[in-house]
Amino acid sequence: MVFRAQWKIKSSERLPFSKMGTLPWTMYKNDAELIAGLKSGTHAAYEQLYREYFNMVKYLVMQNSGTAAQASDTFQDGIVVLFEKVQDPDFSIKASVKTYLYSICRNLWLKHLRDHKPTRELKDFEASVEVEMEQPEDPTEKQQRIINECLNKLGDPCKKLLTQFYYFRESMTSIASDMGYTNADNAKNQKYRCLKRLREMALALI
Amino acid sequence: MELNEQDIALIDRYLQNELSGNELKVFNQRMQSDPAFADAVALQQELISSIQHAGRQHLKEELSGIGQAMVARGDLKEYTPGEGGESSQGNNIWLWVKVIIILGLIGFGSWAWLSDAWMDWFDVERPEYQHYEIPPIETDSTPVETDTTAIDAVKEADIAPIDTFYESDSMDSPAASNAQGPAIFDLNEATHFESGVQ
Repeated sequence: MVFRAQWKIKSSERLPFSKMGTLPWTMYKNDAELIAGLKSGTHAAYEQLYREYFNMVKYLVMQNSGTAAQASDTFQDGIVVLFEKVQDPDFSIKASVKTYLYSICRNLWLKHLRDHKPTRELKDFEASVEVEMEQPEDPTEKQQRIINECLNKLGDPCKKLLTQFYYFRESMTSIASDMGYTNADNAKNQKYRCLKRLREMALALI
Repeated sequence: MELNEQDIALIDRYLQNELSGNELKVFNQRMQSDPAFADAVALQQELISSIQHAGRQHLKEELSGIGQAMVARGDLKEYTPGEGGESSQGNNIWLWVKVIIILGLIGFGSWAWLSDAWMDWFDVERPEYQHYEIPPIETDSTPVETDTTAIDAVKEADIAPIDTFYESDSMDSPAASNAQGPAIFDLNEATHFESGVQ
């Protein structure tokens, strides 16, 4: 089952229909506001980042032997890195968001270029045929894949609860009000139950 | 190893750095003495890491959806390369440097245009003197009518006494003095007359 893409948008952020057509071009007036919006994972913050800086990163990637799809991927990875950085309580930004995001995407694209260096054509001396070869899977990768499968089997409410807490760093109070639990303790107990189920499912497969 | 919810909660608090003091000490001792418990802690760490990975993937999907919708709406700001790769502070400094250089060039150009002092620095001959021609002095074209009859008359009349004076070699001769006097007077008079002043 596909996750609902909009579950990060809280009801308080949704605009009334009368105002939907009159959205200003820039909702966040400065970088501090934008970072605060990004920290709370609001849809508008992501939109503003896309609106302001996507073409900048697209230009960077496409001018450096990349495609539009790779530019899109790099930009999304860049926002993910930025999102994870701003969740750190010790995070402080010295440059503008534009410069910071550009630097992240630049590093990501450089890494991609380094990892995907064009290999030299092999000089053949005999005739050869295509042979399917299975690459041995890394044990950690295998474990990760199994846990991911279990997480998907766990069902939407548990997956949402766990990702909101462990990745999006939402407080239990916020999760409780968002997901309809009576209080934060109830949500916390539910989190442990989900974790226990996930552990049992993973242990059965590993 | 079979874990109850309390153990899972305790491991979770350890992984979230929420244990401290005696509670942390007891937890570390249990991990060292009980390998199964240590494995359970490692597994829970793996589970959380996988949950975070799933969250990351979910965020990427969400961003992809946002991006596709915005591209479809044409809601992306155009980008012009070089409009500010550096920090805004660095841009401001360069802007001011450019403004100062331009103003300096304008100022120097104006000064050089209005003043010719720079010609002395480079030993350049001033162009206005290079082709300067002295204009002819405006003079009356009609020659002045000079009545020289009086001068001629005096000259003729006084030649003999002057000659006599020099020949006689006598400085004190009253005839010589008389002869010189009127001649000089008459000459002066003639000069005044010549120049038109009476």
